Amino acid sequence: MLINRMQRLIIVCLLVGFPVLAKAQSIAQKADAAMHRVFGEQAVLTKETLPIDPPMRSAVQKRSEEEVGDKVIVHKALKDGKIIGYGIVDDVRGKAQPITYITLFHPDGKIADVEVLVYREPYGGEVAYESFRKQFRGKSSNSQLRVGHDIQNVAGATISSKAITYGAKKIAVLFDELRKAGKL
Amino acid sequence: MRVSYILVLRPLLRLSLYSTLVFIVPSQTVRAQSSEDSIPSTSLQNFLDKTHIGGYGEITYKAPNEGDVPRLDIPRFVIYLDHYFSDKWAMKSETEIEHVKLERGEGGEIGLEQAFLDYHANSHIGWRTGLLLIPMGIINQTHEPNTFYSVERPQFDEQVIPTTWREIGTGVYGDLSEGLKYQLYVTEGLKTQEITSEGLDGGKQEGSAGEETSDFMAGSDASHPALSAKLEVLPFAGLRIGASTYIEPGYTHDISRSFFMSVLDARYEHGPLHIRGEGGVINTGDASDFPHVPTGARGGYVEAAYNVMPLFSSAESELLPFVRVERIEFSSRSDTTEANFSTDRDIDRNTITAGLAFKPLDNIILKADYRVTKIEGELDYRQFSLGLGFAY
Repeated sequence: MLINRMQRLIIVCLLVGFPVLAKAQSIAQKADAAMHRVFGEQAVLTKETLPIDPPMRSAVQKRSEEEVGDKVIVHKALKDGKIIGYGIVDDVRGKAQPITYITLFHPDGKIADVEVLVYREPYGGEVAYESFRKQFRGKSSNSQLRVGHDIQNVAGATISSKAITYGAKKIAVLFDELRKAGKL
Repeated sequence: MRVSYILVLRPLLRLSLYSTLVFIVPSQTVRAQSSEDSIPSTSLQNFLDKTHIGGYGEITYKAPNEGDVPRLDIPRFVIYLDHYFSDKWAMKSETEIEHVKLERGEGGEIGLEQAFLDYHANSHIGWRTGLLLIPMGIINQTHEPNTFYSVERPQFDEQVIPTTWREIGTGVYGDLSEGLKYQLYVTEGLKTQEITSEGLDGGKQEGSAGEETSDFMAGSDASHPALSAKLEVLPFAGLRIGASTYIEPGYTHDISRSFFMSVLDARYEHGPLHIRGEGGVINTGDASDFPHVPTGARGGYVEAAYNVMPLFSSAESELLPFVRVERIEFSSRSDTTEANFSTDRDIDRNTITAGLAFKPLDNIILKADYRVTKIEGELDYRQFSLGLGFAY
């Protein structure tokens, strides 16, 4: 009797489950959605690929202790022709899988938000929660941005929490270097 | 029963198949990508981008006060191999070698620890099928050596929860809302008649017929499935509370005599302070009709660790003294008439473990601890252990 109930339960799970499935969104679409959420639905979005020259690369590495590549795509949100926000998509390595996330900035270099775009580990994913992300808002490249100091990790998701925090520090420093170089 | 199957189950099955097709097919056209600026790549590069390798391992030295010589071991060496077919469909696996090697079928163990196909629809629902980790307590699903501070896993996670507890099955998982997570699986069940007062380990099937495997008969016994579920609440970043349940109908198919297990766990982290605990009860149901099977068990532990490194240096590394207090009780039937059983045969084990863990990097841990286990009417068991662990 109970076995039969379990079979029924599996079927109910499947029935309830599959209709919930939303259509897949690409990472670029998810990044745009994050930009609109933070900077308003009316914001006009553009993208620009900026080179990162070797002196800037070493400056970022020195300040954040993280490596960056030789170019970066910067997302921009415009309102009435004026830039009101920026976003940079990046991957960091979690326990074994890359986590794709976007760091959003106000024009003054302060972090507007951090949002997880794709999480791939079998367990975890709680770094996407508001209770974790809100700790980054208002911080900048000069903030400590360290787990256990100014960022509290998600209990039971320490590695992902640290990965996102290292990543946000690196991107905040890169953003600051791009600003100082007059590229933004 | 036959009538109800035809009336209820067949239309439901058909409907679930249709809904599966409707929702799965469009998503297959979406290519996986690791980030938006990934460069168009060759097919080999594309395969490598979608395939991830990782793993973990531990090397230990254990010196008990009596009963055995000191031992050096590599208890586990595990390789993860994951492949993303798309950004929704993935295969995830862990293959392990336990205790260094297996020679002529004797010694350690080579086996799959996890192997499942995962359809991650969105944050609210995912579906996985294969060899799954039973969602029970803390350690079973998060068992990399750098995630706990003692050389050996807590006794509770060896004797009460038989970690690493994996069984073949299917189920769903996701977030009901932000901060409220669920997992619900139906898997092959424990061989409850194999449970002893030493623990549940012998009852696991792990997707295999074990020693009875032959060309003619392989795989687990699926005639007595079990339901396992876990709910987790994360009210704020530093706190996680979990409630897990496992139910398996007994031999008599009397629900009131089912095997039942329930575990509560909590983790609280605030800056350098890390506190965690697990506690649970087991009722073996009608399996306790077998004289060697305990009627049940209960137990739990509380552990506190404190990262003292910031007191000495600004380094990222962590130095964590910790202490853990555990209590486990296995109860046998008090009405047994077997001559070699006393009337009330509870086996209580009280264990204290104290030690030091050093994490020079997040993924590397060095451990040292001393453990004392007191069992009523027996000599104390004491063990000094050293360990090295890594995960990558």
